[in-house]
Amino acid sequence: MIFKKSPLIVLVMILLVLVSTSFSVGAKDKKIKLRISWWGSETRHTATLKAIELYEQENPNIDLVPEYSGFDGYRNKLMSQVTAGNAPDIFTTVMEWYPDLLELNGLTDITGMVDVSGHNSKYVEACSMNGKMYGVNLSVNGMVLNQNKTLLSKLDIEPLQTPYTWEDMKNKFIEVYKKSDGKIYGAPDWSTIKNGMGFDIFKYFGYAKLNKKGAFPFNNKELTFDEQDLKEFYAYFKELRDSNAVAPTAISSLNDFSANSLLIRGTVAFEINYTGTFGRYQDQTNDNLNMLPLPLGPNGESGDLARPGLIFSVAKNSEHPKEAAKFIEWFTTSPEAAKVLKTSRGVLPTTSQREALLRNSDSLSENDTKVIEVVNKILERKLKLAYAGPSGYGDMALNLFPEYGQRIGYGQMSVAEAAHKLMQEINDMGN
Amino acid sequence: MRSKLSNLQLRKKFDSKEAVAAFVFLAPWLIGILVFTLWPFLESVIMSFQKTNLRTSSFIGLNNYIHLLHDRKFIKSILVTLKYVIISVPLKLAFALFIAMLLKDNIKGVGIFRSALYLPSLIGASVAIAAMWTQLFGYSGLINNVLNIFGIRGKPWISSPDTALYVLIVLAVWQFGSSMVIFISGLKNIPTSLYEAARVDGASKFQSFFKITLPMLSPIILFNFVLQTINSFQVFTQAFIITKGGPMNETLFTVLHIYNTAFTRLEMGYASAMSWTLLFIIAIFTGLIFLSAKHWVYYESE
Repeated sequence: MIFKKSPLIVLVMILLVLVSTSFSVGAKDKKIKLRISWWGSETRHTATLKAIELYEQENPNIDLVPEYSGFDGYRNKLMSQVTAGNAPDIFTTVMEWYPDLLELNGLTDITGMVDVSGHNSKYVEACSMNGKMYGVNLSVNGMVLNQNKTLLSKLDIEPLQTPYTWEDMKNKFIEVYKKSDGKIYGAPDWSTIKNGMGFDIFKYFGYAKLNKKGAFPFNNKELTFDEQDLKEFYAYFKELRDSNAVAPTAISSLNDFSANSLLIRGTVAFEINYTGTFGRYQDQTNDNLNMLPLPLGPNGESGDLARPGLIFSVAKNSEHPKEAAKFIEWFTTSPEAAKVLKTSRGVLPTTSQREALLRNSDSLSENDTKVIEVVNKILERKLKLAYAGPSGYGDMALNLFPEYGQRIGYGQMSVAEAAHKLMQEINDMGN
Repeated sequence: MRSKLSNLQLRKKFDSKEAVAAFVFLAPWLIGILVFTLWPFLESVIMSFQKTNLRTSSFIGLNNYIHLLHDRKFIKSILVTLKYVIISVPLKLAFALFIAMLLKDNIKGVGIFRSALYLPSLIGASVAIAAMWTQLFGYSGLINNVLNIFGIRGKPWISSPDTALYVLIVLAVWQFGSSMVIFISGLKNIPTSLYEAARVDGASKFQSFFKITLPMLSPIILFNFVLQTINSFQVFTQAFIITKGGPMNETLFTVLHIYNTAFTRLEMGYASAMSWTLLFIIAIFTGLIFLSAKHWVYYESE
């Protein structure tokens, strides 16, 4: 009845409630607010949120505000936020974004603010540029060849074993195609997929197949590859396509990490990706997957990079860089964090955390153990230093590289022509 | 005299009060258009003459525009967009008109049919539909599974350079609803006496469609035509989600290319120049349509 008689009273009451609640929030608001952003899958979200909760319990004066999403659109959103001076205090990045982020003046130099003594020094160097540390590695991550063992045994094929060469890999792929009567391919054609994986394989390919000794395909100042290198890479994949070792371009180019993954759908038996994504593949299938380090060159050359899988950086616009750095230190060194994060970002970055996790090994899933095992194998190899590359080539790895791969794949260009035109276009970008 | 004057004053006072109220209620919209449309609009004019990533910028005159003229990728994106507009808009309008003809009469359950057919347009530009399309036309999607039943081996429609654009065109045509609704209301406004007269004179259904319906509907057709053309030039979501512009830029619509240039390559100035060029192209096409209207649009008052 009161509602009918005096709507004004109701309105005043609502206002009072609103005002009083906002006051009570205001009173508590002495906490230091830190925004933190990352991308990933559900597993990573859950684990990270747990870690954040734990940190807030230990540090009641800190209020962490999570901003998380999938990878699609993350980079664009981050760059826009950095440009607007409104980036989260702590954000996830990869070293390849450093040049663009620095050009936008978006990174805080945190040298000396975070204890990195527990990290592998090559990874610390990879997180730095021009002698300044702009972030801390969150995971030791390596590229691996995932293989679907269940599918292989159905086809009566021996799974691939380490060590193996590029030639062994190709023959195995062809065997898959033949024994499945052309229904299943060995792997997707990475030279045509627009997710950056093709270019990452190109980096490995340079050391482990083209036998490059110096930094490849670039250091932080300049590109170090030429037309001939591109030609060799594209030619190898053309060979794989022509022998049906990899799926045709049209099928491969839609491959992704989730719903359209050719590995999950059983269209291919092998797939290259980072160890950090293994759980994601395995969670989507009942088949038994396992990981192998990438193939070796004829003289046993490998090209695994000490490339930080994911990096936490502190935004230049952050009002609390010290508190942000303190959180990152806790995140990357404390055993408590290790226990909740497990392998949600690949293998933990510091020895103290890895040990803490292994001590607690009953909480480790089968996936986790597999990932740790394969990363240990990779770490036994001689790691190459990873570079972010010179600035101004943002489009190269993600777009141009697979685009020319597709031109060859769809039969519009020869390998030589594509390599020549791509090199030309890349050189134009640099000018 | 006196009372008249005070009356006038009173009304003036009342008017200004009303005006204030009007502005208060309009404020959300006004602020929106000033801050989120007009300001970026002006800003982009300035940026189109600069090399800028929003942080640092330098004036480079017309260089962005000159560069556009021989930017292979931009020209490709314009051609792709044109192809899309030229094929999808007439198809969509024809389809909308066809369905509108079927649904203009008060048959049983017409409300349900109309809503059902309008639904795709409501949810059409959304990410969910685009994701659904990916599943429908994917290599092992529904379409290929159905084809399989008939023994036809389908192809990866979305990732084949010769079919990718048509997958997006089918999606656009499927969203004919809003044009359909406008057509239905237009059809209902045509006086039935004209049809009756035609019938008495022995005109066939086809004749009355071409001699009565089309001319009487032509202003509505013009309206839909212009609206759809402008909208189609700005196609973005579908390509962004389904094809990401690929394969080999066959679905790289201009707006998608602008988005990539601005947010992936961080070349805001160049991207602004592109959007102004696109606006110019849209203006030309809209202008052409209006010019041609003289020859085919019939207004009753003439």
